[in-house]
Amino acid sequence: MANKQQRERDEIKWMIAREIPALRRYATLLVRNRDGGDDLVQDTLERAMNKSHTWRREGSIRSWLYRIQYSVFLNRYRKAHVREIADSDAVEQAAGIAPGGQENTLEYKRLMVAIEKLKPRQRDVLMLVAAQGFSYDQAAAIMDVPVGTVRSRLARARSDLRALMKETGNAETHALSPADTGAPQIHVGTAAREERKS
Amino acid sequence: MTQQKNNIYTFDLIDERDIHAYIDGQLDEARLKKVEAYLQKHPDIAAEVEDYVRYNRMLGMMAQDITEETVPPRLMQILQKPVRPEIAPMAKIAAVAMLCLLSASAGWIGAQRGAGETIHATQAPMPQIVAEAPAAPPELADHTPIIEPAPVVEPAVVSGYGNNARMLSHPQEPGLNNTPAINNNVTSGDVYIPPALPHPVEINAGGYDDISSH
Repeated sequence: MANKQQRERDEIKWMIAREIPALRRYATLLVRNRDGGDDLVQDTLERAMNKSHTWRREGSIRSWLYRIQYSVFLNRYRKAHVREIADSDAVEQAAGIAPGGQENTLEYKRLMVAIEKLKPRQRDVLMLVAAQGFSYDQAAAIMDVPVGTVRSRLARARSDLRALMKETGNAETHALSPADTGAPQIHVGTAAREERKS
Repeated sequence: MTQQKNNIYTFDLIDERDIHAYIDGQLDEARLKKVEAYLQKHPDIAAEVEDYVRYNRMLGMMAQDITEETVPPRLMQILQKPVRPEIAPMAKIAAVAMLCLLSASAGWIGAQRGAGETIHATQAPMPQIVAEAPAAPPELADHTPIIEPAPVVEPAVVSGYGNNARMLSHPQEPGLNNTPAINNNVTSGDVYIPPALPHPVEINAGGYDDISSH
């Protein structure tokens, strides 16, 4: 009997351990900062281990863990992140989680800045569906909202994102024209210049 | 045929959410074809969709390399910690209710036995009993309870109520206020209020033995 329990516990540990890389990425997407992401994963794992008896072996363990992580995030981390992040910080943060090489484009940096300006709940759904490819049902389960809410938030998130991208895009072409005079520029422009230097 | 034309789902009523479901690959084959046909007819929306698809791709790369990194040891170590199962809220409520019931019945039994002549120590080891200052000086030994603000008696300490007699015989130790000198007039307000004593308190050693024996 005790043997069986032990075996089940080992099995759960093994299953959870396999999900840590995915959890780290999701956490980083939520807090958009690597160290903060690992802190969130740590809290999530502690919580998951303490309530592993509630895992019912239905659905995927990833969804279960993501659910825990999202609720830990909302309860303990969201408040610390409500403050608006300045564009420069957003670019700096984005640099920490940017893809390497050619993918790290100017447009990507603009996207990072725009993401910070979205409404938190809209950003959350984008991070699940767009960034990590979860289905609408899975995203709804993780965020504990109806599927309809996921769909409408997603539509709003993306159209807001596009508007923000166009906005910064216009500001940028304006700021960089014509001779790059060193006039006050938004930080995305600064990042662009650095990119050209390198 | 005419029926099909009248059906609003046959062709054109594609709403914004369908477009997004298309971008996220959430449509079935039939609906997907309809959205594609719709986009061919609406180049402005098609341009929008193109942007969205590109954002999706960029978001998909965000923090992607983390999944290939070695997991930091501090995260793996958490899985090796001993597990502290979280107690369900209902279980906590049940435990508290049980405790209240126990202490109430113990107090009632005590009141019956003492018949108003002895001091009755509340028997149940309630975690939040406020201890009275022990060894009240004679002039204060009337009914006025002396309520100390702080000391919360730990259940482990509240074990031997026979100590009352010993305590009272050591009036030179008035500072021992976390020793369980418990007067039934003074309990934590929200848990249990025992019946008031009809007479001034008398000390009856036999009473203690009687109570502490059960």
